Amino acid sequence: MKPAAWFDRRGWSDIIIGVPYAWAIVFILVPIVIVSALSFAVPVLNSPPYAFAQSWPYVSTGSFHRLFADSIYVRSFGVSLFNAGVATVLCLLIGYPMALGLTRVSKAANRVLLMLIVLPFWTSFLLRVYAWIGLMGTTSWFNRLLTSLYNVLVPQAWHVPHIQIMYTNFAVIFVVVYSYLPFMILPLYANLEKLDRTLDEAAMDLGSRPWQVFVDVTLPLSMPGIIAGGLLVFIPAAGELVIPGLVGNMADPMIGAIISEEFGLNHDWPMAASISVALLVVLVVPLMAYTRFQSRAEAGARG
Amino acid sequence: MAETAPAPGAPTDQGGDRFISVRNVTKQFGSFTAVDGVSLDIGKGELFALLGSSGCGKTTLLRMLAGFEQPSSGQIFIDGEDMAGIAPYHRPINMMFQSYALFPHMTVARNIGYGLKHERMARSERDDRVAAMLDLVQLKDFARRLPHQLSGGQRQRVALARALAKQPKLLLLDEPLGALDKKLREQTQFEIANIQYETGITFVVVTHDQEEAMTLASRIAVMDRGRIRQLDTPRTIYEFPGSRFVASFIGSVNLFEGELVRSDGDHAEIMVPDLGVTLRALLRGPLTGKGTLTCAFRPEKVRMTRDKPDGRANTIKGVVQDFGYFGKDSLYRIKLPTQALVRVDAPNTLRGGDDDNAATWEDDVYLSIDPAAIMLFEDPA
Repeated sequence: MKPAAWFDRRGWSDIIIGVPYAWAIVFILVPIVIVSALSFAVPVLNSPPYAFAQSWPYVSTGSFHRLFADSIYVRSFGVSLFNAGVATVLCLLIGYPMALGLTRVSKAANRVLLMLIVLPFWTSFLLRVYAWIGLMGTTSWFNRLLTSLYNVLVPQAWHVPHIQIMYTNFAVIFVVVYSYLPFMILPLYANLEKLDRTLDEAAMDLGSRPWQVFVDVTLPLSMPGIIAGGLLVFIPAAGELVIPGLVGNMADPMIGAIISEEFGLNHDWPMAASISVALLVVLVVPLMAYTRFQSRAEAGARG
Repeated sequence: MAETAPAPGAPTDQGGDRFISVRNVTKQFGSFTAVDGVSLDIGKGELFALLGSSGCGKTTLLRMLAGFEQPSSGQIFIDGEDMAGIAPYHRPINMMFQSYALFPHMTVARNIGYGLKHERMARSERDDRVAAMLDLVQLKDFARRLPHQLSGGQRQRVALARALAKQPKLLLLDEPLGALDKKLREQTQFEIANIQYETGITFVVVTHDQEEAMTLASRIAVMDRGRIRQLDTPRTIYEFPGSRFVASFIGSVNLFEGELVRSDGDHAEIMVPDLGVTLRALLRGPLTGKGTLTCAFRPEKVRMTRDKPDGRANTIKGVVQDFGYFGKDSLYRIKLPTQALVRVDAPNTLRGGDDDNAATWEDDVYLSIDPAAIMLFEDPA
């Protein structure tokens, strides 16, 4: 076959399929392999600051041993998963009604509201976090307002001069929810918007009140959206570095800060790599579950 | 009006017991009037059809019966109960949706049993009812399938079973055969009629397909622009349409405007310039002499011969312009000396097509129309 003919027949489709594969290999697979290899090295005082053993078995599992031996790692994993989990649930509780509302409003209102949801992205993420720092600080009007509200509601003995929001896990979860809410709303909206509204009418016609329609029809059919939105919030939130660094409790760090510290401050690249690998495993398991669910759901949607 | 049809919307004998009573119902969406002062009565156990083209208001009327829309004015009574303000989930009515609206995440059995979970009945009773419904629509072996694992015809039957499971007082069917292919439609329309007969539930079918309406329903309301134009049995609507609109909406028809020459009690003579003859027509009511007089006759009511027939009224000579062969019959377009075209539907009664009637292109033919087959309409211009 002449090259030109081959190109016409197969070339274009191969190139189009090949580009994302090449991207995934170069920027995802290769880095994962490098990081995984690094996690089996030992730290040395040199440049680069790691080395592999010179004799069999050439690799060291020392970093992984430390991962489980030193409670700070396990604990910060726990903090990360807890914060990310709570933030994901809160995003879902806040985002679901918003996404559902978006499908129920007029076309004009829908366009405006969708724009408002995406609008915060036009401003620098850091700037928005700093704005929250200003609001949450003990001397801000916002904090004073919350404090006086609190003091009105509780007995005299419990009164406080101000509420400590900054440098707590609450602040981390709060800002994570604020920052990641659009990532929950948008996939949920995309899912809910596709649902056939006559199914709601059919359920109502068969005797279901509106809330039963929601439980029986809307909620189960929006599971793919819930899972997609949940993962889009949970995975980056679990590895979040910037938000806990700015508003979080330094004494009880999240795993992102630990990785950053091992890598930068301690020059212990193998340790940083082994934590990263562990985090990857923890996060990839739900992702794979999701992919399975998704392909099952897609198989279900066909036909 | 020359044809003896009941006034539009007037109840007839068959619907006498007024199980469902629609009283002067109007529905407006903004400035658009979807349903305009409709009144009709439907008897218990009747299979009733609302027939009309899209946008005629038939679906809006159906949705008002189901409770998805509220009338702007007027009342709907079902079994004597005023339906105003009663939510869809409180009405003794179930609906079979045009898209079937089967729950994609539930099995066939759960779809059918869905409406029963709101009724206080024992689990075993519920299972029995679902089994009976599966039996009724012949889907016993498919109880655990999901909707997407079924064919279109099977989905249609699941939708029907689901709507029947609660044993509603009234079943609404929105274009029940619309998504099925021709062979399946013929089979299914008899099935639906049988199920209606067996269950005794009142059915209201909405359709734009006159064949569907005519084969299914005991009575048909022909709707146009939000109003009922005629309400009658399929036979009456076809043979004795009350207006030019209904005549041309149901089946095909030759329409020619004419002028009354004279009438002698039970017959009228009408000069029809386009046909070039004076037609003799049987009168079924007095002519008012006002408005435009239209002579109408259906293609299958025209007799076509190649020899000049003796002693028949209303004979016209013409030439075969073209024809379509459909197997059981052929549709001819006959060109008259006046250049007007007449549609003639001739049955192919003899095998091989050696029939005298089997004219071909450019053949001279004679058309004769029985005076009783001519419908006269005096529609205002």
